[in-house]
Amino acid sequence: MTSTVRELLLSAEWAERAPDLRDEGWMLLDLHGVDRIGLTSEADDRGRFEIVCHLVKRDDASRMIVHVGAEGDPPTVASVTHLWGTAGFAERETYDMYGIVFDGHADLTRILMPDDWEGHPLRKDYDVGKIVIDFKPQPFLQIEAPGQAPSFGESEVETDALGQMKQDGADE
Amino acid sequence: MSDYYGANFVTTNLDKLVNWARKSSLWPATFGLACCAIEMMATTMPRHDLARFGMERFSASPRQADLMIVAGRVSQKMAPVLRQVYDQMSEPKWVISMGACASTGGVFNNYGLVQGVDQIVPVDVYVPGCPPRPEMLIDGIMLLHDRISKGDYTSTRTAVS
Amino acid sequence: MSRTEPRVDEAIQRIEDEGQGAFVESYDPDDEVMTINMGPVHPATHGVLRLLLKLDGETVTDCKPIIGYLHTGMEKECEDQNWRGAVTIVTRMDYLAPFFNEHAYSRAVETLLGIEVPPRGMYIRMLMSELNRLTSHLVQFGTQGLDMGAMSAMFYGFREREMITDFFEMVTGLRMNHGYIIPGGVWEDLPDGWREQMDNILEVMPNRLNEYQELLSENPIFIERTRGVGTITAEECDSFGVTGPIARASGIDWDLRRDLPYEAYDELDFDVPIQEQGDVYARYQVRMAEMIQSVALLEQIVERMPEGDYKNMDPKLTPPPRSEMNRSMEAVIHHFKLVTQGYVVPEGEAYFAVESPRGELGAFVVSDGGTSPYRCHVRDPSFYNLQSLPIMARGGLVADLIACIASLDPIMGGVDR
Repeated sequence: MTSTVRELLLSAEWAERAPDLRDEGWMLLDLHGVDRIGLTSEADDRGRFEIVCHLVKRDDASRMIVHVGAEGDPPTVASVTHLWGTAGFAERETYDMYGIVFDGHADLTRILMPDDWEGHPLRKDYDVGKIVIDFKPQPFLQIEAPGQAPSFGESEVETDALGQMKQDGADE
Repeated sequence: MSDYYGANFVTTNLDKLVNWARKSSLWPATFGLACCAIEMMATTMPRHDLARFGMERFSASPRQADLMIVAGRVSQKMAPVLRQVYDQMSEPKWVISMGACASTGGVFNNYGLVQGVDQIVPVDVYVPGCPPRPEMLIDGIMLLHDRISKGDYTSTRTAVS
Repeated sequence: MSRTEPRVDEAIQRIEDEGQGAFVESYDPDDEVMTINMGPVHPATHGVLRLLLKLDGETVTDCKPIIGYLHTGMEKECEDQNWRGAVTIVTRMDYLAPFFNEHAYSRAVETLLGIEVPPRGMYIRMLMSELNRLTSHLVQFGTQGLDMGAMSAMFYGFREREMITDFFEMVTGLRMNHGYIIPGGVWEDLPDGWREQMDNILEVMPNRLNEYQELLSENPIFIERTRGVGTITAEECDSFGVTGPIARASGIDWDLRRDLPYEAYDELDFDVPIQEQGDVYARYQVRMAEMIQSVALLEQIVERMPEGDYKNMDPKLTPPPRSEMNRSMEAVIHHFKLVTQGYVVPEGEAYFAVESPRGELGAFVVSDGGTSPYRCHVRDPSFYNLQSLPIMARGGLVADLIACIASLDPIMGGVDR
């Protein structure tokens, strides 16, 4: 595999560098966000949100990955839709999923979630949204709540807390 | 009718005739959403021929469809559309929930998916699988045929609140 | 005189308020342009794609794709699984090319792990990938024919697909969404008798592909409907990040298997078909030629399949064989840890792309040193190819739009993830 050039930029630098990259023949393949709140190993002061851009130059089969830090509140990055049409949907998706605002995007609206959705799902403080499995009442097996031992309706056999049958003549 | 007249009328042979007619050529509404849609298409293909039931004519118009095979995962954005298409179908109508995602949310238990299409529409037959083999879908359809032939043609399903 | 008749206004208002089957979004009789909604439930949009069309009579003046109707939160779900379990999520993204999703993801994780895949594992991966390319192109061939009224194409395409899915079922246990290519290699070795099954397929495929050529390639109606329709130039492809058969049909000579080779593709001999016109017919020709090339590749792969391990047997990665677990305490502990927690991937990030039937399918994986992905993003080709739809559709008729969508081959599972 050819080695990939990696660059780390700030938003203003990205706004300057991107047109040069486009003129050199780099093609933007992908643009997405990363929430770096859990990556504490990097001791430098890269902010919480960044976007990652994947570029490729076909002439010499080389790849480039550019990390652009998003600054401010809401986190903002310069848009590159005027250079590459690829960024149109990609920046909308990054806005939808992370809340990163792209300066200069003509139509920065939600693309994957419904328009009135609140919150940005891929942020690390947004819960996955798992729903506890709720079993429907069964004809023979009554399951009151998940995790509880099932009871077979009216039963003459007495069970202790572990669900084991109580021995005759046992205490309690 | 049986509600109105009480037990004064018993419709046996007419029941059988009407139910036979209803189950014999159910027209599915095109509701293929994701991977299960490919298996649903494969079910209509010569190997597992769905045309044997007269069901190869998928109806794009919900007005002309009897059966909605929800094939695939239902996302939050798609849920109102699903309900709207179901409402547009005319009675009698049935729903088969094909695949694990349509039945219960499947492999995905997160913010994006409705955990089971029965949260939105009443389901008659659940077909598990990820994706279910075409034979499993045919089994589900035959199960639905049984339910239709045993059903009472005068009763309509009560509205889902 | 008012713009529209009051009762028409009222009717439209009522439809909009009640939200019942409103298809005409706006209508101004002084202006010829209508805005019409197409989808998401529509027989000819491939999956749940919604299009807002601006129509001047029958001519499309603009088309805006609205997506998100299949958004499953897969990238978030991956962060909730361990590294091995995320394969089962990733495989359902581009559901017509499941092996390619798994392949890109597995390769990205292997880059972070710093491990090698043994040769047999590589060849098995290539075998399944090329078969998957065939099934995907066959479905595209079928749906393209179906959308243009040539229904027989659908039946022919799926007939071959059944043969290949039988083989998939024999090897992986499933017809679709296999979860077979995992970081380290493949999940299980090829079973006995795979060679005969493959020989069967390879014997039959060339004739069948010729049949398809006879069916559609010289058909004057097909040519009339596809020549000059939905043209896109190479510059526009570059601008929108369009890759795969669509780019190759516009003259861009780029195929990851040849130009940035992975697995053992550099040991194999194949051509990359290119066309210049960039219209629907050119894309059709490219896909047909790719199918023939895939058959040639498969013959070479079957011929050269090496012996050996099918996955990297590092005990930190792969559970030990059961017999070992009866004898060794370490084996039991390894098995327990691997099954309950999963293995740990060192910190870092990696991107790997494979050439899927729709273009460049890449996986970007970030690890924080834990047992589950910190960030798993899949660069899906359909997401970017779909942005070129307005360019293709502008100026054409609605029927041409249908042909364009069919030739774009968008898979909404990949678009929405």
